Amino acid sequence: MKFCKNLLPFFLFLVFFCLNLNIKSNADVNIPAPPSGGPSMQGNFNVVGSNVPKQIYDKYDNVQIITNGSRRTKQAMWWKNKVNVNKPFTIKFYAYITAPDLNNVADGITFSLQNDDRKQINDNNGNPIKSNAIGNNGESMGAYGDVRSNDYYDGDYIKNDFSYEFDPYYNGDYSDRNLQDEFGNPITGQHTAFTTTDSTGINGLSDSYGNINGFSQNHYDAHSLSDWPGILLPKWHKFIYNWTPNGDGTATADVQIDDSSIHQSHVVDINQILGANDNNPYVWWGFTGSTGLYTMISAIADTAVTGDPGITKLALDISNLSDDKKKQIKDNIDNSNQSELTKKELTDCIYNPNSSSSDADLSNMLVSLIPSEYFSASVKNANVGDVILYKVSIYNYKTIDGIGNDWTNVKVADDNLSDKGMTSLDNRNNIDATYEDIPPIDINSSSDVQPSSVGIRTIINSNKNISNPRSNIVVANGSNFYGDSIEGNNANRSSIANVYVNKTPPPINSRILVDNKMTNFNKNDSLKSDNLSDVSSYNSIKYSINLKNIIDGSKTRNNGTYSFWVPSLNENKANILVNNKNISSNSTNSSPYYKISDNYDYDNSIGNSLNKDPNDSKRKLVTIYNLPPISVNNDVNILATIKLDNKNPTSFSSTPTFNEGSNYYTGEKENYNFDNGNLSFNYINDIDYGIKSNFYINRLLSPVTTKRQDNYYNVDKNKVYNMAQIYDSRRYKIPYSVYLSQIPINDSSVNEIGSKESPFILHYFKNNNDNILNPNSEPIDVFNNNVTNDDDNDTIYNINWDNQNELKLGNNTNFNEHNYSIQKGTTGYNAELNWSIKDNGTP
Amino acid sequence: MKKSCFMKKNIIIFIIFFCILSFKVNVGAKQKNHVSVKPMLSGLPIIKNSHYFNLSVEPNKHYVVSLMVTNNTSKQVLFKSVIRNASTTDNGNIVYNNLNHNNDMLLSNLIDKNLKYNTLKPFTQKVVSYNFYTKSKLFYGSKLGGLITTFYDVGQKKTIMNEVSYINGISLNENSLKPDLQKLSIGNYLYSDKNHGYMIQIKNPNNILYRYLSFDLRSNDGLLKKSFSGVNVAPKSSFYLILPSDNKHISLKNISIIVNHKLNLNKELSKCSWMSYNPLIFTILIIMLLALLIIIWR
Repeated sequence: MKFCKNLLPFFLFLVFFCLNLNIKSNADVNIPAPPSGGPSMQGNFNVVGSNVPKQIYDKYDNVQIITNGSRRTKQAMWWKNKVNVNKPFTIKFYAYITAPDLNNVADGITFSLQNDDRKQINDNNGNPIKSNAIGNNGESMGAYGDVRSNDYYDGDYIKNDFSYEFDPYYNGDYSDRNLQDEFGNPITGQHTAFTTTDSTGINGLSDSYGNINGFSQNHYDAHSLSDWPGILLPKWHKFIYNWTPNGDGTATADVQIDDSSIHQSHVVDINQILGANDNNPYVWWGFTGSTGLYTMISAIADTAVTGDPGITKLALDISNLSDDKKKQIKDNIDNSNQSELTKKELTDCIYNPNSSSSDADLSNMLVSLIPSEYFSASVKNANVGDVILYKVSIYNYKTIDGIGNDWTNVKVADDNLSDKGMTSLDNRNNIDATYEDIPPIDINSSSDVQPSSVGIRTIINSNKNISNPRSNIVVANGSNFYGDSIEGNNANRSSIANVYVNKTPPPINSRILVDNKMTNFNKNDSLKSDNLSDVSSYNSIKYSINLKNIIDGSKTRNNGTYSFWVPSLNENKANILVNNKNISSNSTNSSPYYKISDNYDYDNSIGNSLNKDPNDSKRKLVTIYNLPPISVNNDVNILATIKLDNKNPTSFSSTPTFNEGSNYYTGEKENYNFDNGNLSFNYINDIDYGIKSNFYINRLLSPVTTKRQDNYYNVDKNKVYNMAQIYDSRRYKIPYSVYLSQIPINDSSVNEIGSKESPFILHYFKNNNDNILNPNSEPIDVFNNNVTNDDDNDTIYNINWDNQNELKLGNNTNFNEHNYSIQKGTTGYNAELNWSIKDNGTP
Repeated sequence: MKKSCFMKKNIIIFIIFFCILSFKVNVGAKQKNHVSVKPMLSGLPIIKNSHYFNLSVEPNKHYVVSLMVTNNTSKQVLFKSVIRNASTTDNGNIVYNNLNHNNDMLLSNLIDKNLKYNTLKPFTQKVVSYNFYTKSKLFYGSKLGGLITTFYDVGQKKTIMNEVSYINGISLNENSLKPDLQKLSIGNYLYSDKNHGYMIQIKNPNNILYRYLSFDLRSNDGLLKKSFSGVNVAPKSSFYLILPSDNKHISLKNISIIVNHKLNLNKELSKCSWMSYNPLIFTILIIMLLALLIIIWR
């Protein structure tokens, strides 16, 4: 006995230690990833309570742990804006509720609408900022009052509350006493139901002396949890809560779990229950939950909030993807509708992320091809040299009834990457986008329409003076949304993604940025560009290339090569300087030298996206070998001057590449547009119908052109005359057409031929077919040339008219002289003609 | 004095008379040479052998369509550029500057403003660019429009203005559909006094561009026939082929149209739809109905 007494402190210590151990292990609960992303909890919900568990926002920013297995905790969380209960809305969320013993899961959670004015915090202007409402713990689930006392309202409770409770613990004596389903059948176990905290929603319980000693909650449309088998297994379960006003002061709440056929619903009197009224129909919405003697592990993941648009920012370390994930992404890329070239570039972004193409569109495609669960709000264990893909999604969901507001003029911007020790791979250092309209989309996750997402790839290039985490915040703001279904001041929506970078870097890969430009000496053009226009044979082109390494502490080897294509090369030679030193074409072991390759000789299957074209038969590849090592402080600069040969193609495009071992880095695509000549009017002769002394002309009048008349009134009808002339200097001549139309004169003081007020109208006769021209008529095909040749000679074409093919003047049948009032004193009638050439094979 | 006053009045009347009854009608155009408009095709996914912006596009991609406009004159040149959708004119021509045609097939992919005004100093060049962004959903087929560059003069009010335009086609092709003739159909028909014939509507409801088609039209009794060749049809457009007939009272019961000498489009026209196209008869019917209602009411 004495021995036992001596051991008592030890046993007590052991029990205390085990309890502590239990609590600690519970504190680090292992919640699986939610089925989909959603608005981040931080900044969107106001959380109140006691013993609120440690959260895992770094891992899943849209998950809130309500209970973590600790006893006697309670928590309430309220969305930052109030929702309009006179309008329908839908909230979709996932709940995770479980415990080691599924028969002892306690106490439960609620989804609640409330308008507890006692707990509302307003700003100086009286606008609501947040709600601190919370109820009692234990079976009151953080929402109700004290059900085991003689005064329900003496203590914490949520006033003006309408809850949907998920109660996995049947007490049977107080809160859920006399629990029945809608048919009056008793329920004596785990259950869900709608409840309220007003006097109509609770029943006083009396002792044998008739004194009130407790309360039970009225449960509306209660269901046993056995209706959803396995709902307490450690999995996420989908809840869709629909709110539909009935137009008579009541509204119907409807809840569906896991796409089950069971819909729980209840009609509530909005004003009575929520204290809302027509003038201020806004109430708070959110979740509550609690534990008592028994506990549970529970969490909420909100995924879609209708009526309130928002934005999320997530990140993915592409350089740290597992082989399985890479394979999954590659399968998605292969099954996409992209071209083979784009698929190859996308695959490179996954398998060779730090040397992949700098095309921003690739990042936008990647965010839709990479499974959303690969992204998270926080990236751990990143290294310098890793490529991070940020995904920004803008969401705006409509209700299940298809109702929703457009979010218009939405501006999205995030932090500048250069401040985070990162450099963009997309040639842009932050997201800065404007969306004219984000229409509401279906809340159903199975829908093809997903929130708009944009991506940006960055590379971590430095660890100097940058502390962890590297937080990147994206902010969106728009208009045409507030005051309609949401009350509150949160006009801006924001989300944060964190990246933690290891301090001790492993061996670092380089990231080479290729900055390539061209100049045409013969055009006296000092502008450096990757796009040359009007280039002619034998022009001299200067290439300026800067190779820069942006990764601290990395260095390329001594055998890097740079290669670029030219459309032709006069005398097969080039003048090349590397770091201001001339190099020759004699190969050496260590110094830079260059080689010219013919056409497709060079085996360069990676990176160089040159489209093979038989018209480019004179193309040459210039390759510079043995480039010096490139580090952050040691760029390599190349100046290459080449002289083009003759017989160049119409246009020519290629992408230069820097290669180092198996790594390659591409520059901007270089485009040549050769001077291919063009079509133009040499002249168009004036058209003149002379002076008339009467409104009425007996017949259609031909123009009185000088070439066709002996004197002013004597026109030779049979004479062919030249109307216009076209000059064709195109190298490759293909058919073209000329169209004639009359265009409206936007000047009310001008008397316009063909208008209703005009006595005159134009007719274009084509092979004797009469086509009326007026300011709104369709263009008329007046000349076709079916020339096809590549003789490269400049040619002149005449548009000739005669009596059967010409523009004539006649009387406007719509003209009424009696209504003719405004034209008195008119001395001239005008028309504006448009002569258009459909060029370059335009259909 | 009286005589002088009479003379003055006569002169004034003569001048007014002359002013009222003398009209000078001229339509003129100024010389517009020495300017050039060239499409910059390099770097674009041009469909083989095309010299206009005939692009093979992908969803969710950004494309920049640019023209190089050159002024080789010693004078300043004004020009405006605009993109318009293609439409098909009667008897089968594709046009772009039809002001009445206002669907947004191509323009819905355009970013930024469409109409752009530019000034080119003597002997200078300017690049005019338009940005397209294809949407995430494939549109299957072709969207056709034209980039119209128009040179114009300003500051000459009440004089006759003439403009010269150069049209460079823009075709966005996604999963390009083969020009399947079966997709063409016969729509409505009507008799046109102006054109002295029946106008038979041909409908192209899909995103398909048809080029160089031949149409052989033939009435049921073989009395009316007409052939057309080199007909081009813009995507999602309709147009009328005119079947000449001086007698509007010939009842067309069946029309046969053979396209490219192989496909036979037939249509029963016996359910005479002409009434809806004859506003005069329609108006008379309405008036008669109203009159009947008034009589009943009285």
